[in-house]
Amino acid sequence: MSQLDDLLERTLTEHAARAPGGDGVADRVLASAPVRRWTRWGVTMLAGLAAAGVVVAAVLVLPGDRTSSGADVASDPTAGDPATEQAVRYRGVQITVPADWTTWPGGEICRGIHATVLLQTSGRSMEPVQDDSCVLRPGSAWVQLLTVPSGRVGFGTERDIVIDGAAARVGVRSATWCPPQAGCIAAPARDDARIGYLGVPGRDVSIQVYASDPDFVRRILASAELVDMSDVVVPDVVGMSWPEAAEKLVALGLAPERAGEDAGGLVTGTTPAPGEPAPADGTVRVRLARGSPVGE
Amino acid sequence: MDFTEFVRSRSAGLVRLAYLLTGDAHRAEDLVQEALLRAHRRWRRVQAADNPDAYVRTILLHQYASWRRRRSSSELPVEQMGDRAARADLSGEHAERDRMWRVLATLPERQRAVLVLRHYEHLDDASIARLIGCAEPTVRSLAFRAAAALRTHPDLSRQEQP
Repeated sequence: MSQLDDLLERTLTEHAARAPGGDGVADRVLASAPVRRWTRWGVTMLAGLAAAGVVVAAVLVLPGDRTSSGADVASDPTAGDPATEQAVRYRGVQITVPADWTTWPGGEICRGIHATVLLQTSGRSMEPVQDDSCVLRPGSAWVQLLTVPSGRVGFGTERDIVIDGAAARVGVRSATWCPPQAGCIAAPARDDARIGYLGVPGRDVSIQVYASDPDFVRRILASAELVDMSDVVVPDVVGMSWPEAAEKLVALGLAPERAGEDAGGLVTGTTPAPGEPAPADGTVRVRLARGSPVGE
Repeated sequence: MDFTEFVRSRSAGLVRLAYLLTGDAHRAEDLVQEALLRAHRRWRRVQAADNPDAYVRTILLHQYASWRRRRSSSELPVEQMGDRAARADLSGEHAERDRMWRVLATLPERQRAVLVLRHYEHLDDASIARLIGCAEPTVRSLAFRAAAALRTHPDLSRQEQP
């Protein structure tokens, strides 16, 4: 055996010993496998209904990894790893998509409610990769950094979870979403948008949740746990047009409670004021020059 | 062996293999989870196979290859990994293994898979060929190219020097 082969074997042996145990995987698989079978059947049925002209949403729910944030991550056996600890930060955002923002050239209307969970890890940024697969339906909610399944989410994979007893599938996508120029403020589609995997320092996870029932998403929203906004200050968006300001706020994990009727107005003020720390719940209210104040 | 028993008894080993393939603990768990879930869908076929372990490992390797393809086509990191230690900081065996681990991560997935299956799983070429779905000469070719890549890598080339 050459020196190189010997080094290779020792390297593989050493790193194999560092691999996580299989218990967590086994638990998740055994919890979700039967439901996945049901889910596949359900999706097939839904597709049939859709073909018949019935608008349905994919309802994907799976048991297993219910996670809503810090507590679950705290129990993560890898939590002692500085890189993992660094990765655990959550922010939450909720907005309402205005009624006139319904289309996106090349895209399609989302079926059902579309929520998004974004888990921020740390600072290394990724180039945004545009996903033209979906446009939010009017009135749908967009959530960032809300709920992740056990903090173990792989890029391009889907994970089955149960949230408040409802079925859902979360898919980790490579995308940031609607470009601001299309009038959609739901996505941080800029150079500070981050994508990737949880557990890799400097990368984020984007999770899309689809559900047929608006109440389902509302329950998700209600369960949002916003953590560690302490280092975020409200940006100065006064004087900006609403879409421009919204883009900036969403990028920081801040957004008005509602972003609706006055999409074309100019921002005249925010609560908290620019430069002040973001509120604990991560919500910044925005006043616009035209129409009713947003979020008040 | 039923599915539950299989999962309980094999998960750890599969995660180790996946970790060596991916170099990432979370990705490894995801790969294994997906492989097992796929195995669950066709469990009767897996059970009926001569070697259910090999069947599931094959699924895992396919998942791994699929992931690498997706990753290479859709993820565009804009910053280089900045956490690489300076060479002066790398000394001793641990540093050597660390360099080897990093270089392994740069290999194409099939080359890396062959190295892992040869040097960690200690499989012969015929078994590796079946697992990754190629001919034995291809396995040897992949192994040769992987070894050449390691030998000529600037961080490792001194390993072959006297």
